[in-house]
Amino acid sequence: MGKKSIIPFGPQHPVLPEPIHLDLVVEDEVVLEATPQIGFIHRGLERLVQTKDYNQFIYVAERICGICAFGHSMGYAETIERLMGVEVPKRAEYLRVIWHELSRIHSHILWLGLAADAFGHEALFMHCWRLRERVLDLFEKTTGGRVIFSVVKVGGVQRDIDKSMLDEFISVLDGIKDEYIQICNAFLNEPSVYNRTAGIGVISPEDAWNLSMVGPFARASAVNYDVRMLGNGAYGDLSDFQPILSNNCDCYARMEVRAAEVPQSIDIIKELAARIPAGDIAVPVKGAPDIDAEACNVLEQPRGECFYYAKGNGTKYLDRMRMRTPTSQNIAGMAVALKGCDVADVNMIVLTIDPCISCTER
Amino acid sequence: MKFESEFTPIALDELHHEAAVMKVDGWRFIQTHAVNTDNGIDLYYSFMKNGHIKNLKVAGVTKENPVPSITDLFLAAFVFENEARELFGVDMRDIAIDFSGALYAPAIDEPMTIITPEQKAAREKARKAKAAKEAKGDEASAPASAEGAPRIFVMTPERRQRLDAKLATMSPEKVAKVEAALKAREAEAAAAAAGAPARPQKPLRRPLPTLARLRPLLWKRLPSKPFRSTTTSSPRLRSSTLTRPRRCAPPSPPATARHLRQPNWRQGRRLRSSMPLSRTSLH
Repeated sequence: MGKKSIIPFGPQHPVLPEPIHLDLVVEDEVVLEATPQIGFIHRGLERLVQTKDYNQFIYVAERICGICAFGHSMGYAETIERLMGVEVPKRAEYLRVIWHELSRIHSHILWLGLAADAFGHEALFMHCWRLRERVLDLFEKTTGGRVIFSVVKVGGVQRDIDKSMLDEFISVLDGIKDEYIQICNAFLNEPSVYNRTAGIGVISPEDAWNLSMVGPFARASAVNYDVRMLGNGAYGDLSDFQPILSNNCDCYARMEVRAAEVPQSIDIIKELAARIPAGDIAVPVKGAPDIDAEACNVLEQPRGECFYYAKGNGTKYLDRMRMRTPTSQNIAGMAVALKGCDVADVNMIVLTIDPCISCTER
Repeated sequence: MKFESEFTPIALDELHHEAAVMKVDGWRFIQTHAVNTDNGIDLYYSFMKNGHIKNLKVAGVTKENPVPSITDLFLAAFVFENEARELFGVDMRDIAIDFSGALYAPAIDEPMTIITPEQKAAREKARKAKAAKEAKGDEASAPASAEGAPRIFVMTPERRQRLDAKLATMSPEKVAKVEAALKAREAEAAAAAAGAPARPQKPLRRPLPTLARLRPLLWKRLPSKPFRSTTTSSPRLRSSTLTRPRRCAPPSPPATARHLRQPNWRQGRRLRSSMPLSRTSLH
């Protein structure tokens, strides 16, 4: 029976992309309990609906987080379109999904790089981020921005992607896929990586369901849920979509699921680029939401399911805008996964939920 | 949009029971949030099953009504219940992981319940406009106005009285402008009634170009950097698909007469010795 001590983890830590604090109750290198604490990056962005009207707020929404920027702007725009009964043109839906899947690719490659850094493989981290640069170049060519694009508006999108650019997308993505599969070899078929990640941070499928976990974190524990299955927007036009699941429920499984989602996203982009219809990219949206009009929306962001709710009050300012991001749902799962692990594994487990605390706290 | 959603109002004392029923029926908990209204705080509990979202809405919760926590059924709700308590002042009881006000620790208590006076005025105005619109819809509409026909402004005695009362408080120039506008509108109405063509539409203003649209034009002028991977030696690492033009030489300065050219700091003394003498130096 050793002595219990409390080790503070974060808010500043090399593996954390964003600040979260954990109080780890530790006894002889084994974590007994982990209490999360957030609030270091609470900016009160939901309060800004009172000063920014519903068209301006999209710029606030996409600045909630740098990695999930496009997802938030797309989810917000879809919510307002549901609120006001606006029908977006098909081409705009396809373009949004193409950019969103590219966003998923860049986010997962970023995460793989961070995971490599977490278990000490810095060269692999650099390779992943160098690969990610090619995706950011695609974003910059089509939207003008690398991370925050400002290309979605209520009613559609602001810029078009023409046929030559879509062909370039496909050729670049094919080039990325070959190199990406070689990099994944280093993640998934390497004994040292396997020793660091297999059997660590196990959450059983029942616990994953009871804790309402979302995203690749949940799918690695065999929770069969992905919002893209519901067929919202252009996802409904895909010939076949199956979420990637794993039964292993540990850190290695989460790495596998995220690694496998990148080729799946590349295939989705290729399919949609081949079938994108011609037409307008936006419809004009006039007026304001009705008094007491309410709408909600879900979107599969790279980290999981993101829920949006909007309420109108007759003015051009919304009454309430709510964005529930996937990480806020997964914090409970993280606290449970940390119980009983070694202190050295805390890095890995915290990173495998893909924490996006800026999104959680807004 | 392939999923359906519904908003179901429930009472506060039914909340815990309804949440338990949802759990037994296999619904997945999505989230909890609060909305600030004039009659208190509305709490929304969202659940999903088979692509259908059900939002349970508990309306009009005030500080005197303690709200039971659902963290004994759905542990993931603890973040949202702590948030509702801190930002909205909802009296949540028995939260499994309770931060006691230290989740966000905002500088102002219950910041989401503060509505600025401008917002309140705008909302009041929107409500009045809606009420007036509904009242107008109940009144008998103007005679012989069919669907799609232009609405004709009719100056009734009550409207004239209200207008006169307002004009009495305004300056003479403004009064003259208002009267002129009214006359123009009456003339237009008479012309429309007589069958003359409608007033020509004002041309739409072209939207100002945003920086995002201008940036590709700027790119053409700026020299672009060579793509990173062309400098690596390994063919495996070199990108074969995405290339950019290499750095271009800057454009040469326009040819000017030698005596008009400014002396370059690099050329220094050499230029000074071959510069033609100015007229003033001959004296």
